[in-house]
Amino acid sequence: MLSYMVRRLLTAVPVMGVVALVVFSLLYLTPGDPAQVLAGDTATPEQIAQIRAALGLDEHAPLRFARWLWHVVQGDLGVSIFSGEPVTHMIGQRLAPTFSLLLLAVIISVGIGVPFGVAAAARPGSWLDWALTTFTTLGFSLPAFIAGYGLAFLFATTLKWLPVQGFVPLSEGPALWLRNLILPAVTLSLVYAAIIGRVTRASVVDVLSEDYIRTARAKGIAPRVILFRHALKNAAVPVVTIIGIGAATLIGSAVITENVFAIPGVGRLTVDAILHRDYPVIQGVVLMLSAAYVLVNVAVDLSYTFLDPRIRY
Amino acid sequence: MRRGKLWVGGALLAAIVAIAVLSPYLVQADPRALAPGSRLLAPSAAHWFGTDQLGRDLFARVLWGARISLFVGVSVAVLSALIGTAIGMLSGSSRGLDAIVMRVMDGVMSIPAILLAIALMAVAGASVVNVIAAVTVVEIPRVARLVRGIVLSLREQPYVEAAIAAGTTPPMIMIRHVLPGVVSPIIVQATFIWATAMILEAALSFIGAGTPPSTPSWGNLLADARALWQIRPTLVFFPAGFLFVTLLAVNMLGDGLRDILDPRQEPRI
Amino acid sequence: MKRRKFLRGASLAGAALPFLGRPTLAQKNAARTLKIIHNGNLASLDPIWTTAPPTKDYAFLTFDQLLAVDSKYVPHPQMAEGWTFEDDGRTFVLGLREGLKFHDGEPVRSADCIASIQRWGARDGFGQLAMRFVDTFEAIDDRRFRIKLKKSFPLLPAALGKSNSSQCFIMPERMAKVDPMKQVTETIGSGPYRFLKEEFVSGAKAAWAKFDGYIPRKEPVDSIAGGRIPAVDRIEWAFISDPSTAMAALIAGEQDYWDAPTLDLVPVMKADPNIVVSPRNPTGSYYMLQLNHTQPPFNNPKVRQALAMAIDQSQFLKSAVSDPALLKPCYGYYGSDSPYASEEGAEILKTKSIEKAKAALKEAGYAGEKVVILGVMENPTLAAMSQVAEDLMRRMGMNVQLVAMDFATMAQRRTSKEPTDKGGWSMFVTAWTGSDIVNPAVHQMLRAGGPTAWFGWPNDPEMEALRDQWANTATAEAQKKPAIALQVQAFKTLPYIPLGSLVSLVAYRKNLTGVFPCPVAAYWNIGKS
Repeated sequence: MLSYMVRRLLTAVPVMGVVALVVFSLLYLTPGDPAQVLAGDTATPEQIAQIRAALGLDEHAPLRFARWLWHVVQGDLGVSIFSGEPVTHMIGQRLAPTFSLLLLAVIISVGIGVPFGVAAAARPGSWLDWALTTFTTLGFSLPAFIAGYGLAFLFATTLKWLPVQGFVPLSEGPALWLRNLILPAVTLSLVYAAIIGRVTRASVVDVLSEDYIRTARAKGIAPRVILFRHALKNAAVPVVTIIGIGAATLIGSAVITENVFAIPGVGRLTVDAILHRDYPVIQGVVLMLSAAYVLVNVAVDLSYTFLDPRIRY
Repeated sequence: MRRGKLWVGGALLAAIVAIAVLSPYLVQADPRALAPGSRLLAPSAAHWFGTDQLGRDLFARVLWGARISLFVGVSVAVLSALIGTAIGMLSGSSRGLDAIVMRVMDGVMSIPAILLAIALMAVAGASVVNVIAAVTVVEIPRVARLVRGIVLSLREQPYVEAAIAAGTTPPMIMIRHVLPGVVSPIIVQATFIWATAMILEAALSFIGAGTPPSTPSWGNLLADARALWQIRPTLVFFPAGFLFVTLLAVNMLGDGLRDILDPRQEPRI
Repeated sequence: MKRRKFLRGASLAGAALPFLGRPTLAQKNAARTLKIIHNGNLASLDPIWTTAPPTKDYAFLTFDQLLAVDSKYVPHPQMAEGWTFEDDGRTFVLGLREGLKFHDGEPVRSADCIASIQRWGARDGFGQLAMRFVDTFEAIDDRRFRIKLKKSFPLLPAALGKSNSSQCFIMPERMAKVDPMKQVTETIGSGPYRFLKEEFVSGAKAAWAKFDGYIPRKEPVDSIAGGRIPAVDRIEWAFISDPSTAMAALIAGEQDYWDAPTLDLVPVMKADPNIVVSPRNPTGSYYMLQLNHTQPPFNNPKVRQALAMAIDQSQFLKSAVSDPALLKPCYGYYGSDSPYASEEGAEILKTKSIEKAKAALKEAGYAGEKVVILGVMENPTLAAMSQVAEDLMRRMGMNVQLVAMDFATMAQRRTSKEPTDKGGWSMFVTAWTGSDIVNPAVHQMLRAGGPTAWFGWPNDPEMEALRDQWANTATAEAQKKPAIALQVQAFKTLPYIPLGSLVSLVAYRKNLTGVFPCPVAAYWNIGKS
């Protein structure tokens, strides 16, 4: 298993390299460059040309890529064209808010979605099942920003229980940190909890119709024992897969939530960088994202071997 | 109750599709006609849903918007489900392929949808096709991973081993024995993707990489209304309402389909 | 069983929410902190290297200026004690006030000023113009210096004290000696507030502390001139891009000041008794329809004139905001607060008739050439006006296509001089502030030198001649004539079509004091009661 992990992590390197190349090419093909955005709407063509020359954007593209790659290998992600700050520093500053948000959202979603899904699968057709369908559909069909506005309007503006926006680092107190994160985390977790709930339910329902479950029932084993000892582990694979995929998806949805609640996270950094064509930041963030996805997927794949011993690599 | 979901969901969806198809006949107002002097009006006899920030009739835009939104949702869901399932099955069936294909999927997932959308839009101009392409590419890896996970566990099932022993060729095994087990979660996932696609389309519209501004789509309408909902909530309420009903219908339909396709239903402990 | 436990737990948690801890003293003296929702991310910290508005706002807090113009654009001393022109206006002598210090405790010296002026003059348009007149810089002593000019240049004080980008900010010599094509990394200035670099997160958070060593002038504030009193202990900027969230934060009291409220949300804020909404920037935002003079159809002056006949400024302005008090048509090429504001020559823009425009279009020989509008969708006002333009031209019977894109793509595409089917363009909507269009020196879009002009490349030697005449006229009074003649000529050539202006508002909580009219976002003088 260890060798499997090492193999996976090693193969991650060429993947990240290819991703970097693809993103670089995408940026190369995309019209607009940071010099123009920097210069702003009211700049003259000469000013833009000056800036472009100073930024080294006139350089041959493959050369620029090679130089960037060389620095990355040495651990230097370069410097933001807009702020002049090191990309690693910028990403580092933004990681804590995004990570806090994602962590809380995952906890809420899994904590609500899995139990709800299991309970609904144990009683298909009941009011609980119906409630799951309704709530999960609500979760899917409410765009994050609408849910966000609604929650903020209710809990922040009207009831004044929670703040409207902002992020407070954990270092300033866990209560404050939590207080600022609840609304955004709930907003983010709505969709996620919905999908986890549904997949859990679907998967458990499938497993419960297996022959060995029927046998267990025929043997007179108590329903709860059947559920927890026999069914859940076998149903777990799709659920864990979804949790893994969803964790990755969350990063994308986090962008909107970070926008609505003004959380200074990586999501906003990415969108701003893309709109500004801040190449080093875009490339640095995508590289980091691909590393994150690789890690999450390795973890998910490894968990399969625990959950279902028949799966081997 | 079991069949109920299918009928209700199907009927709702059919109604919405009908609205989308018949929209040119159901509305007289031109959804693109600007009238800045009468912007942000409340619903009235002249404008059933009111007007938007450029004075366009909201009722017309919501009904016409059904076309684009449904088209985007269906296209993305179907395309990503088909391609993703194919990739996932391929990957799950062979260990060697699995390693390569999954690494590629990891890579594709890392590329932010927004970047892809902006690149496509900048190169080929903002259009519905670009939105579909950008969102599909991003969704494929997720379907592929899900399918592959299921294939991996199903592969070890006794009936699969039996089929191998009986001499069934691997492709037949995949199609005859594994595929049915994949269908159920994929349908669930597809409905989710439908929803995500419609919502992603709205997110892309915020930054101008979504559907072109004059062409109405629910995502577009929501993006435009985002800053204005506190003074004219109807701008959000109507498109969001239609979106919600559509997604409800899709979900119910999906559930109903799954119930039919999968004969092993109604287990009770 | 599980369900019941879960529900019980959830309701307990919900009930506990209000008690989760109101922010207490972690607030660092909220009463003396000014919290501003700032429009636009702060990225670069070098106001000479970039003209981005957030950097300009940062610079006004952190740095100081030698001179500063008042609301009538008349320059006054700021860091300077005074200045004189000697030698028939060929020598400019300036003396600094006593006791001026940088944030690191060092006194401000002539050498710092000279180096700063040189760095500014390397990048800024008005500065470059000024540098053409400059012969040498000489420091007489630490508090006085002299600029020798090749020719009389009475506009020098106006240039040094101007309020639009790039302003001439004074930095320590070591910072000013940094190559103007590279960014400075230090943040030491001599302004009323000291930048707290350790708290800065680009695009997320910025903070300043009051600089105790600052000596404000005694005069009352008048635009950027007068005493820049630091009236709070701390200033914090938050970057909230979502307008609904920004408004909610202001209403909830989490923020004190919103420097660019969405105009449509103004009625909601006006209804709140704790919030004041007022036009702080008297110059407003001016919108323009920029045309491509090098490609058909707008390379034909008669087609441009036909378009001008159809344009009704109020339609464009109304697409952005409903409240008529917030929109101001402007039938001129200068801002309404400019000394040269007039409607001379503007008859064509007042025609407002699609019928007449159609006839004129036919006469001009328009043969269905494609018009490509570059529509930037990130900015709702520009997006709305682009759609109005498309709609208008379609009703005129022109072959028009609106291409939606983000700003960076537009910035790229508008550099193209190719035909529209090869990636070129015909028009786009742009916005400038009143101080950008106050006179022919700063007004970039009145330059008509063809290839050297701004995007659109209007080519009219007559306009260029009038502009030179203005620059070389000795007195302010006499300058009026060539300035207005320039406008009359501009209405014939139509380098761009003016679309009028929208009032710029700010929204802030009632307990703020000292908010004064100003064309830039200046946060000095503002206190909290």
